[in-house]
Amino acid sequence: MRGVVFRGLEELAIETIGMQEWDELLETYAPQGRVYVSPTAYPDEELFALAQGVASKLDKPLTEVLAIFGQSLFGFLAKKHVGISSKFSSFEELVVSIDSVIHMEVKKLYDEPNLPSITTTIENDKTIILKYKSNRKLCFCAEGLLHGAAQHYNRVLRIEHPQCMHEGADHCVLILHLD
Amino acid sequence: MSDPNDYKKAYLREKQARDEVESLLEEKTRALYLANQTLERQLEQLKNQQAVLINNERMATLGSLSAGVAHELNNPLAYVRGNLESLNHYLPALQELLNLASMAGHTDNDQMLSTQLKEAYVTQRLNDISEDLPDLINDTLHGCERIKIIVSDLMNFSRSNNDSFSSIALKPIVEDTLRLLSGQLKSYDLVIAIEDVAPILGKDGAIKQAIINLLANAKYAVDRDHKPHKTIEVLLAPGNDKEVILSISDNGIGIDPDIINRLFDPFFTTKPVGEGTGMGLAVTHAIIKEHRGSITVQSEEGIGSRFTITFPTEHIEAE
Repeated sequence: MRGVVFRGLEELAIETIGMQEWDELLETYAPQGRVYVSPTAYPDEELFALAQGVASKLDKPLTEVLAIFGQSLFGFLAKKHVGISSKFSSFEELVVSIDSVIHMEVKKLYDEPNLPSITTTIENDKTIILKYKSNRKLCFCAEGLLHGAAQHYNRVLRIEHPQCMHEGADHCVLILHLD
Repeated sequence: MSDPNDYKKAYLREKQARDEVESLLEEKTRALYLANQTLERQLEQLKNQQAVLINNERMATLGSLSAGVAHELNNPLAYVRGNLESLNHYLPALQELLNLASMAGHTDNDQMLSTQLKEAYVTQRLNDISEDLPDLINDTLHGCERIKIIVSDLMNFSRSNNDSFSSIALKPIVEDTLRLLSGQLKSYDLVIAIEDVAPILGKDGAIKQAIINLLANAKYAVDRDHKPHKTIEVLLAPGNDKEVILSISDNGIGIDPDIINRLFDPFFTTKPVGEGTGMGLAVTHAIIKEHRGSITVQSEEGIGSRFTITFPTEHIEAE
């Protein structure tokens, strides 16, 4: 996983559990002297362990923390890449462009071979069906990112997750209901 | 720095520094990515243009081959036609024989039929026809086979412009190409030494194109000289462990040392206007490079020239 995601987690952790606790997590789960920089790739396990650590310290289930993390990560990325986020005038426009525009921008910056595959279908003006597939199975984080995006565009979003890779499905299905 | 706020301030400063450096890096990386995309597009364009040039050159070669091939076709065609005319001449006699044969068993007068057959045998010179027929038919079949081979060689050459890399044996390719040019080369002293060599990864049609270009140049060079023996030599032999050597040489006029370094430049030609495109050797060079091979030339004015091509035999990746 790219350092930019670790940096998003770092920002959230320092805000929620504080610097000292985050430092403790780093001491426990990361190699000594680790400093995260966006373009560098770090082991996925390190991210999962740190996220689990944050969840333990917050006394929340990992799925909930991943959702919170996703939401915060969207704000972190949008702030860091204003040029990309400003390309989209609406939540819907952003969601249908994840694969074709956002992931393309990611490829410009990072040599990232494990990008998730995301396809979207607009059912009607209030419903979008999103299919998520990734060997990292970070669907809860994806939900959080979608909530973060909805918040960015001042939309109220409810997500149904009727099919999940964690339950053996080939891909997750997320049904996005907008206000 | 025991106050936690001091740590936080230091962290925020360090974070800001990381952000700024990353922002600069991202800007450069994005620009590099876009530049790379442009270069890849241009490279693709160049490859396409090169393919078009090679194809154009192939078509030009095909055009110049046509006259020689037409002549090559004419020879077997002439004796096929002659033989068919002879067969046509024999047809009435054979028909008469068949008519008489059909009467056998249907007539009461076998004696008369026998007499008629004997007369026909003599008057229609059936004995001569019988002796002639096998030769006529065999020669005609041979002529047709010859025409078939010439047409097949020409078609193989003309339709192989999109051929792809595969494991190929050079010996039959060199032999096919020499056969394709046999009409044009028959008045020259050809020295041919073609050995079985290890297969190479290559494009059949492209290699034929390169050989034709070199042979056409050799022919041009010896035609411009006035030696009593116009010699063109084609050698194919193993090189070192991982190489195959193909060399084409002539005892023609040789190449001016001042221009030898420009021989493979596109549109460079020493031929008069209208006689050469200047692309033959450039295309040959491009073909050899595409095969990750090399081509060198040795020449001495008044003595002759030798073009030596080296192909790798163990090279698997093709561009």
